[in-house]
Amino acid sequence: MSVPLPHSPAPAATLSLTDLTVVRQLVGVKGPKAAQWLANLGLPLPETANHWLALDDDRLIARLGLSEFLLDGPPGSLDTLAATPRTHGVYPVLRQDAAFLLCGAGAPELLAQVCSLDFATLEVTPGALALTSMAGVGVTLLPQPGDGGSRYRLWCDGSYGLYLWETLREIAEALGGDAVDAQTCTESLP
Amino acid sequence: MRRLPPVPGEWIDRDRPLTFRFEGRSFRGFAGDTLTSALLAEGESMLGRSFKYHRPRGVLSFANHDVNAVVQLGDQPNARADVTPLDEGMTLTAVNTFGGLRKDRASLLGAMARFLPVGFYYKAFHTKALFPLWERVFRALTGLGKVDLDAPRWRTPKRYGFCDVLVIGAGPSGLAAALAAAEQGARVTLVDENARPGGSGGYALGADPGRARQTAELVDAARAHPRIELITGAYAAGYYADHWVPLVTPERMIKMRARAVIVASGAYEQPAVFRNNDLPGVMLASAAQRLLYRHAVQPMHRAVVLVANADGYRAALDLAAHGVKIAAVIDLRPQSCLTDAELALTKRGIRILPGSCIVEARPGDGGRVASACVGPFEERGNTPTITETIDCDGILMSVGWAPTANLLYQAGTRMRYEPSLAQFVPDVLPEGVFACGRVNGTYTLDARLLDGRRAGSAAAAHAGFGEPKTITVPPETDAPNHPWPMIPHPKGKNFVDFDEDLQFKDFENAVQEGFDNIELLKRFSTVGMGPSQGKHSNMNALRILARLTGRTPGQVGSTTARPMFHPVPMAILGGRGFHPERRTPMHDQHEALGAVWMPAGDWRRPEYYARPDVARDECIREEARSVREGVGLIDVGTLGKLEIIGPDAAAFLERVYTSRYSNMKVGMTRYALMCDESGVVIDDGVVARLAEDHFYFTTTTSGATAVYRELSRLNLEWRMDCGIVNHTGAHAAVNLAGPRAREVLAAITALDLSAAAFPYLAVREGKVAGIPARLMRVGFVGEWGYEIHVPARSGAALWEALMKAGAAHGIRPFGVEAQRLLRLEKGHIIIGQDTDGLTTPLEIGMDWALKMDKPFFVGQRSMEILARKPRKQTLVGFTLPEHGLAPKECHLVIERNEIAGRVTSIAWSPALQRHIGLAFVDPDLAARGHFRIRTEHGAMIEATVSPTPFYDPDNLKQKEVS
Repeated sequence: MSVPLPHSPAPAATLSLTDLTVVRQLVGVKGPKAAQWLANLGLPLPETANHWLALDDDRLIARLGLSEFLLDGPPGSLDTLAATPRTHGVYPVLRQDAAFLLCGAGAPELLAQVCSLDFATLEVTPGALALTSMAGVGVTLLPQPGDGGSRYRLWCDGSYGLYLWETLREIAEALGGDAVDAQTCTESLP
Repeated sequence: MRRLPPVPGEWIDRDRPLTFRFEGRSFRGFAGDTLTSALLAEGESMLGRSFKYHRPRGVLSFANHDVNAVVQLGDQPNARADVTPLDEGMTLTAVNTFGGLRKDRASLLGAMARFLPVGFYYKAFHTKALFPLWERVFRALTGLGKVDLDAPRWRTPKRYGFCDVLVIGAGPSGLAAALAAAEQGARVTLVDENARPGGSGGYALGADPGRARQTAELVDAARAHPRIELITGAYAAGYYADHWVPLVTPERMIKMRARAVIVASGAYEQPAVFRNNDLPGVMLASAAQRLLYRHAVQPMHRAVVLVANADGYRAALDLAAHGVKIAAVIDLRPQSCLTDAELALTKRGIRILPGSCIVEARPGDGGRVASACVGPFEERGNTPTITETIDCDGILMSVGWAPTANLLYQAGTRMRYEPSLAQFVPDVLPEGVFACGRVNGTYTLDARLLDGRRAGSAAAAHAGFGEPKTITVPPETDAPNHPWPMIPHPKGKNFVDFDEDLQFKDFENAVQEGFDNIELLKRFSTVGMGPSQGKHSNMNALRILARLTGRTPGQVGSTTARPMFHPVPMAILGGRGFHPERRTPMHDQHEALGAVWMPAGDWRRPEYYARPDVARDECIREEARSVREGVGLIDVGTLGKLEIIGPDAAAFLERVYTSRYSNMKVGMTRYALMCDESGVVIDDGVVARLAEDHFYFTTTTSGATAVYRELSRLNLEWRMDCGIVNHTGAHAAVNLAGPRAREVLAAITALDLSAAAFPYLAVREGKVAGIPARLMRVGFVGEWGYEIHVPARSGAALWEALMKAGAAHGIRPFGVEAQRLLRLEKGHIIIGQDTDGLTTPLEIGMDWALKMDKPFFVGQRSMEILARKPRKQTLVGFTLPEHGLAPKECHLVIERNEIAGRVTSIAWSPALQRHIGLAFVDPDLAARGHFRIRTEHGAMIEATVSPTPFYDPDNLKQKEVS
C-alpha cells in the first residue's frame, strides 16, 4: 500500500494545470536547412537554440536545437506549414505531443518537485526554454511571462501524456491546486 | 527534575498541554517539548536500555548524538526521543528490552560482561552446525525497534532546491555567515537541524542574557533578509559532488544544489570516560543547557560539574541560575584560567577542584546517579585514588568537543590535528567549500561571529557576488578540548562508545589483538558503528589508540565519514516514486476489452484479453485460433518507429544494418538486423522504402530509444547527408492478420489490396477509415496481414474502425502472448528472448541476412572473424511428444551431466497439437537431432530437433492461391 505522508503542508498558492493536447496543433521540422526553409516561408526564428518567439497572439515558434523547431498554434493555424513539401536538408517531424499549461504562484513549487532544473535561472533570460526531464519523462518546457504569475507551457511524447498528467495533477492537488478544463482556461496563448 | 517557571526564549507552549504514554504510563508535556524533555520534566530519568548490556540509560547529549533515548512510536521504529516533537496521544515504548524498560530481563547480560569482551563473536561461534541456533539467538537479541512489514509506504514529496550559498548550521557563526553572504548579493539558504535557529547562542549563556540577545538579533536579521531562506528542522544529510546536499526535513528531502557551501555545523560535545559515566543523570553539559533554556526543564537538583574548558563553567552558571545546587566543579586541568565564568562561580561560593577528576559515579536506588567519587587527575593513565565522595543527582560533563566535520570530510577536506586546540580542524578546503565556527576551531562567541562573516563573504565571492573581505579571526587562547579526558578503572564500565557499550579496556584488548589501525579498530571493536556513527565516541577512541600505539591523534587520523549524517527514514529516501509509463492511443479500448496488462519496457501492453470463465491459456489459444482461422487485431504501437530522409539514407541504413537497402524498390520492405561492433545481435525490424531518399523503419519495442540514440550518434560521426526522426510515440500501429484480414481492410480503404497491387512485403500509403496511413504487408504471425501505422491521435479511431469492419468476420483482438505463440509456429525469433547479449547472427541461422560483400556495416569485421571459428551454440527448433511434461523457457539442455544449452521459447501449438520451441544447443546435439531438457523438478524430457517454420513452411499463406 502506498499513501501520502500525513501532515504534508499544502501551501496556499494558486495553481492550475490544463491539458491543451487536443486544442493545439503542433508542427515540427528539423534538419540542417530547416531554419532557412522556415525563413523562406516568412517565419521569424529565434536566433539561438533553446529559445522561442511569439509569432502572433496565438502561435509560437520554439528553437529546440541548432536545427530543430517546434511550432504551436490553434488547430488549423499551421496547416499550410504542415502541408508544405520538404526540401533537401529538411526533415518533417510529426508532433503528436501531449501539451499542458501550468499556471499560478504554486507552479514553481510543483516544478521543483518533478524537475532538477533551476527555473529561476531560466526565467532571467527572455525567451528561454528548456529541454529537460520531468518526473522521468523528457519534456520541452517554456516559461511565459504574464501578469497572472508563473506560466509554463510544456510538451512531452504523447505516449507519456497520461502518466505525466496524472503525476502533475496529483502533486498540484497536494499543493492546493487543481486541473482546469482547457475550455475554461481563459489565459491567452501563447 | 522538574518543569521550571517560564524561561525567557523557551520553546514550549504552556497553553497547549499534551498527554502521551510511555511504557504503559501516562505523562503530560507541552507543545514544543521533545519526547525526552517531556519525560524528564515529569521526573522520568530512565529513558532506555543500552544495546549490549541492557544498562539503564538516561539523557546523554539531548541532541540526537546518542541512542540512549530511542523509542518505538507506533509503526515507526527507533524514533529519536531527544528531537522528536511531542504530539497529543503518542504511545511510546523503549526499544531493545525484554519485559519492559524497568524490568528488562536482558539486563542479566551486564553481569556476564566479562564473558562478552569486544570481538567475542569472532572467536566463539565456529561450529557450523550451531550456526542456525546462534543466528536465531543473535537476531532475537540484537536490533533496536521493530519494523512493521505491513506499514504503508509514505510517498514523501522530494523537491529540488537551488541557492548561491548554502549555510549548514544556524548558530552564531552560521547566522553571521548567511548575513554576510546575503549582504554581498547572494541567494542564501540557511539550514539548521533544530526546530529553531540560534544554535548554542540560545543556551550556552553562562547566565548572561546578553549572549542570547545578541543571537536573537542575528536570527531576526536573517529572517528579515530578503535573500535568506531559513529552513529549520532539517539536516544536511551528506555532501555530494558539485555542492549537492540533500536536506532532510521530517516530511521530505530537498535536493539542494549550491554554488558554494559553508559548513557551520558546530561541534559535538564529548563525554569524559570514567566508571559508570552512563548512569541516568550523567549528561553532557550542553544537554543540560538545552533542557534549561529550550524546554524549561531542570535536569537535576544537585550537580557535580566535570569540566576542562570555559564552556563547563558557563554551564555551571546556567544551572545555578536556574536553581540547581552546584555541589562542586571538578576541573581536569591543574590550573584554572580565571575566566569571567570561573570568577562568577567563585563569587557564588561554588567549590572548584582543579586537577581533579571523577573516578567513578555511583548509582542510588532506581539506578540514577547518587554520588560522584572524586580524586586527583593523572594523565599518566593510573586509576586515581578516591579522595572524596560528593552526593548529587546529576553529573555534567564538559571536557571538550569534536568538530561536526562529517560533511567537510565528505567534500574532500583535508583535516589536520591542531594540538593547541586538541581538535581536528580544516587544513585544505575544496573549492567552493568553507567552514566557520566551532567546526573550524573557533570557540569564543566574538571569534565565531567574525569567522562567520569571513566565510560568508568568501563564499559569496566564490559564487560570483562581490569580493572576499579580509577579516582576521583571533586565535583561541583557552583550549576548548582536553586531550585526554579518560579515567581508567579496574572494574571497567567506563564507556567510550555508548551505542555499543564499549569500555576503555575494550580498546586496550583490541589493540593488543593487533587491531592498531583506526579503520581496523573500528571494525573489530565496532566503535562508531552504532546508530550515532561515532558522534560521541570516535574522538576519544582515536585518542586512546594514539596513546596505546605511541602516536599523535593526527597520525592516527579519523575513520571515513560517509553519508548519511543522521539515519534517514526510508520513506524520505524513497520519496515520491516516479515510474514513467507509456500508453498507446488504444489503451482505453484494450481496457474495455478486458486486457490483462504486462509491462514492456515503459509500455503497458495487453498480454491477452480475459473472457469470463475462460482460463488464461485458453484465452490465448482462442486469440491465436482467431488469427489462424479468421482475423485478429493486435496493437503494435510500441514498436520503435523511425524515419531517415536524405540522399544518403540508403547508404546509412546499409552501414547500420546487415542487409542491403540501396537496391530496394520504392514501395517495398525488407527485414533488418542490427549488430554491434562485436557482431552481437542487438535489434531487428522492418525497413520500408517510401521514396528514393526516404525510409520508414521499425525497431523492437525495448530497443527504440537506444537505436535512435546510437543512429543519431553515428550520423553525427559519419556526417552523411541524411537525417533521422524518431516517430515512435507519434505513430500508432496495429497488425491486422488472418485469412480475412484483406476483406476487413477492404471495407474501410480505397487502396487496391490485390496481391498484384499490394504484394507480400510491400508498403503503401493511403487512407484507412479516412485516416492517413502507412500499410505494410507483413507475415510475422504467419498469416496474411497488414501493419497499419497512423498518427497517434488517430490511433483509437483506426482501432474502432477496424473492429467495426471486422465484426462481421469475427475479428478478435489478440495480445502479446498469442502473438508470441503465432510467431513461434512460424519460427520467427524475438530479439532479447531468443537471443542474449552474446548471440551472433551466425548462431541463430541469420547468415542469409548478412551481406558480407558490402563495403561496411557495423559488426562486419567481427562477423568475418566469428565465421572462421567453430560455433559454440546454435538455435534450433524442437518439438516434444504429444503428451507429457513440458519444460519452461530457460530450462537447461543437459548432455552427459553438463549444461549443453537452454530453451529460449516454448509454447503449446494448436496448429501442431504439441509443444514446440526454440533452444540454444551444442551444434553436435543439433546435428544429432534430439536432446534432453531438464525441468524444474528434475525430470528429463526428450526433444526432437525440428526445422522451422513449424507452420506453413512454404509460406503459402502469403500467396494469393492460399
